[in-house]
Amino acid sequence: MRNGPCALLVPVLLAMAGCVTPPPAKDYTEFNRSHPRSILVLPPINESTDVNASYSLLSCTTRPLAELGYYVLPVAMVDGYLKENGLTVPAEMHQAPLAKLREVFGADAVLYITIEKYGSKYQILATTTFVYARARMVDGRTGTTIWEGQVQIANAGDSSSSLQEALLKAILSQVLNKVTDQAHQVASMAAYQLLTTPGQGLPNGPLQPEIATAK
Amino acid sequence: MKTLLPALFALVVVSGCQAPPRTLYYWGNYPAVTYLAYTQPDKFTPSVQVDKLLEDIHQAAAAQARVNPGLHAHLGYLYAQLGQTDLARKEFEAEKELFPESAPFIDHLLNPGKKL
Repeated sequence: MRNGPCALLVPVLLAMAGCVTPPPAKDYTEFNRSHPRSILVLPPINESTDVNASYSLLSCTTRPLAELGYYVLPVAMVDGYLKENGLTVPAEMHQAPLAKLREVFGADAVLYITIEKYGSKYQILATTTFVYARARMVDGRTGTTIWEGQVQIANAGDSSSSLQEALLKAILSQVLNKVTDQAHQVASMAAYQLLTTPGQGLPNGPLQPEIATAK
Repeated sequence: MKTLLPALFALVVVSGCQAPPRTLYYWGNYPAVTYLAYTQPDKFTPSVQVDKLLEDIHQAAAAQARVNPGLHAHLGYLYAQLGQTDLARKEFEAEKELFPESAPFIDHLLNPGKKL
């Protein structure tokens, strides 16, 4: 490789990758005791300044959860229902009594997400896109916390990507930013990482065929 | 710029490899529809969303795959917004049949006297 912007990026990416040490696997005792089949994902509370953040991340949660083997209540419809019933913003929805949510939606578990950072920071060499979020899942009947997680992704160079992949994404990020919604793409990655990382996200659910047949 | 072309090609190859090895469901327009309905409501009107979701149903059938959880329910919700209550009811029932986990919410909506 000739000396150029790429040569500068390599140490930066190496440093980024080096910062991430995997935390120990979570304790799934409460989760397994609750054994949810269906999950109600409430629209995330948005602490960032980007007005699209909440619905961007919300729309990215169905696929990873469903592919793990859970039924996910239709997210936009749930939001519409809650709004029509007087809960106009996510913060109000998160305050809704669990018994009421249980009565209307009948979900085994409720997922509460808070977005801490969301958006892009424009720099000379590359645009960094941040999606930071934390999440808590409670048993739909008892309110017991059965899972908690967090995710912090800066740009597309997350820890699970190969260096080469991260490098290519960094090179192209400014090009991509012009034509696509980079933050939404990163939100999609964040949802996957938050919910499906082995030992950190959720275990496979009952709608997985191999789990259903093993019973 | 010279380094950018191979990089572009490599990115296409790399992103082609990112698809999960297998999926439980067919994922078409549903995730994007639920996002764009908020960010571009003028473009992704209920009737445009209906078309996109019907496309998903046809594509899933052609691929002999199952539609994702929530698709029929969301479609029913859109029909209800468009005043097509018979179609809405049909889609809600379809969601319930495919995913019995949806029954409490669907029954709550179909319960007479409860407005969607």
